[in-house]
Amino acid sequence: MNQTELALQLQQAGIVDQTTAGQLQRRASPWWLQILLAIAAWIASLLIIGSFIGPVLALADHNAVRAVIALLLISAAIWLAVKPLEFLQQMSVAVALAGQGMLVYISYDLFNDEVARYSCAVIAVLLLFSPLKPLHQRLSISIAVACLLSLITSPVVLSVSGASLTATAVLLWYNRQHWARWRYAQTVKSLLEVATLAALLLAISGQSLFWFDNLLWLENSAAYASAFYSISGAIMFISSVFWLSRQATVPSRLTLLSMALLLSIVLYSASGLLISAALMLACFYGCSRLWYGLCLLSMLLTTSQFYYSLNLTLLYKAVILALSGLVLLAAWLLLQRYQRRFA
Amino acid sequence: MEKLRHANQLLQWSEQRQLNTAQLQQASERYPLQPAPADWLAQANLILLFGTTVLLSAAVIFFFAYNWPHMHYFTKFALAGTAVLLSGLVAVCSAPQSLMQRSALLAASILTGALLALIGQTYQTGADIWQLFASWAALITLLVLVSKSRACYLLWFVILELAASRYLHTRSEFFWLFASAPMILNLTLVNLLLMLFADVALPRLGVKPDNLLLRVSAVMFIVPHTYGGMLGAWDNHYQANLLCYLLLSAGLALRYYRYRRDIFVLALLLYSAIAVVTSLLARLLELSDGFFAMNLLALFVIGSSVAAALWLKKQLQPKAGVSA
Repeated sequence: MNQTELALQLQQAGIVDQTTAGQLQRRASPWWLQILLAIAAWIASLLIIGSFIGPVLALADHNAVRAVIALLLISAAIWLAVKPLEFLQQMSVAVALAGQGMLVYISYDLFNDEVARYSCAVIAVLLLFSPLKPLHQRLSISIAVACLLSLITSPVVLSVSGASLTATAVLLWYNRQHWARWRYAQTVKSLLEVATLAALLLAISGQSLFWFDNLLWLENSAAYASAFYSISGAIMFISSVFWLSRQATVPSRLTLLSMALLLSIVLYSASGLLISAALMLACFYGCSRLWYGLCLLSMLLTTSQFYYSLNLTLLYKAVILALSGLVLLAAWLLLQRYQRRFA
Repeated sequence: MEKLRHANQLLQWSEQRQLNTAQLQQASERYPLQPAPADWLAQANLILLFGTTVLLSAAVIFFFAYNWPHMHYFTKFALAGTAVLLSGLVAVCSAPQSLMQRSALLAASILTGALLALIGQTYQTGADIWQLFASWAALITLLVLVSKSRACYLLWFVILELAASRYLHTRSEFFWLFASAPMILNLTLVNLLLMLFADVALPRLGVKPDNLLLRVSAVMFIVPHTYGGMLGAWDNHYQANLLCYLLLSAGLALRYYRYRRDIFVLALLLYSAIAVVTSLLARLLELSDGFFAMNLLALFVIGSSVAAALWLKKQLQPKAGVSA
């Protein structure tokens, strides 16, 4: 049953009237068409912006001129955002980003790199209050999060931020059916998707803290941060299993929790896998097949990234992976037994 | 997963304020807004077995990557061979087409690659990496055919693509982007074969009908296909690519519009055509005023993309449940 049929069934059940059913049936473009449209819109915007801004800046290369152009671009973006055509909305994102980029460049030119990153985050957050479309909301939040994370040089603060983002994403996925009714649900959804993506990326980088430390990007204390990542990942994974199994029988729940605990102990050094697993359970509960698939992909990436964890020998890592594989196999065999018993 | 899709759709409508709280509440009585125990069990079965396969295969790869300088090479081969045989044995002993058999065959396919890498490492054969991927793909072909599993086919496709692109990399400076015209054409044709295989042969080979493999192979095909066509507008050496682009695109558009309607492939072909025509237009306007040329190109991109999107959305309406 597709979107159209679901809308029709809601109408037949008297849940929505004919007008609403018609609106629900008016399907949004599929994701792949949106991507193709976005590529075309962004190229068109770049051509237009390039043709206008290039000559203006060549004639008057001054921050005041740049500021006027930036404000004009952002105003044009907001104007485009309220148009019904998807292509124009995609153009609005590209135009707004060009405006944002120019404002950030001004702050970089006037102050320094650090102020530019703060101002980038502030501008992105401010734009959330304009009539932007969900795509721009997601991009704005992503830019703000990326700017703020790039200011962190302490591994401990980075791991605390990663854990906080993961906890936020997990909690929001578990409560999706509650906040989906809120007035600002669309903004919460944007926040949730960015938090999930950032948490997955930080889960992968959390495993590579020693590598980043070697590059002198981070200050010392990677060991504490790595331990914090592992412990927080394990807590989130076990808590997820504990909460999800609340309606199971006591023996089933104990078995599930034992398996989760065993897996958390074995995968202590591979925190990325635990965090991705916790997020995967939350996304499945939140009914998002797309994010569930992305969490699975993140688990594959985390496993391949684990190969490059320089603080552990390959033999040690092989043993960890083999043991966790065996725990999963045992869980699968128990599941088969359970299903046979209740078949 | 069907119930999950409904729940997601209802929640999305509510988030977009197309359904109010009372309507969502009423709808949730007919369509639960969270996965049912049966959904959890089905996914647990799949994930636990898939996870076991991936983790155990990765463990074997990590184990041999440790190098073991004092272990005799014969012992290493025996261990790696045993791992492949063991997974093969599990596949033979499992019920045909069961989840267990497919997982075991996936493990055997991955471990074959590990065994080949071990042979390369031990004998320092000096072979290029593309030869490893090509031999790996050739060796697992039978396993993949027997498995009838989408995961195995996806692995096979990725390995074949890696072999082809790594081969071009040995003859090009930056990945395959600076490869010669015949090389890009060859990559296009190889990917076309893969796409047609996914489209025509897979359903006949007993693989569950699914658009994923066709879509992956279509994307792999369209990138070098479009790139060759766009270069053809600028460089005379690539004119064969442009000619090939026109012929193949026309043929494929006819097939996927008339005989086997697939809007995703049609969308790729349409937007690829827009890219190539834009490239041709840019070549025509090369000597004209920059301001005029850039805005004209932008207008063309906007007009053609909007028209393409509207047409595609119209095509999607009657076939909404099939292609989207």
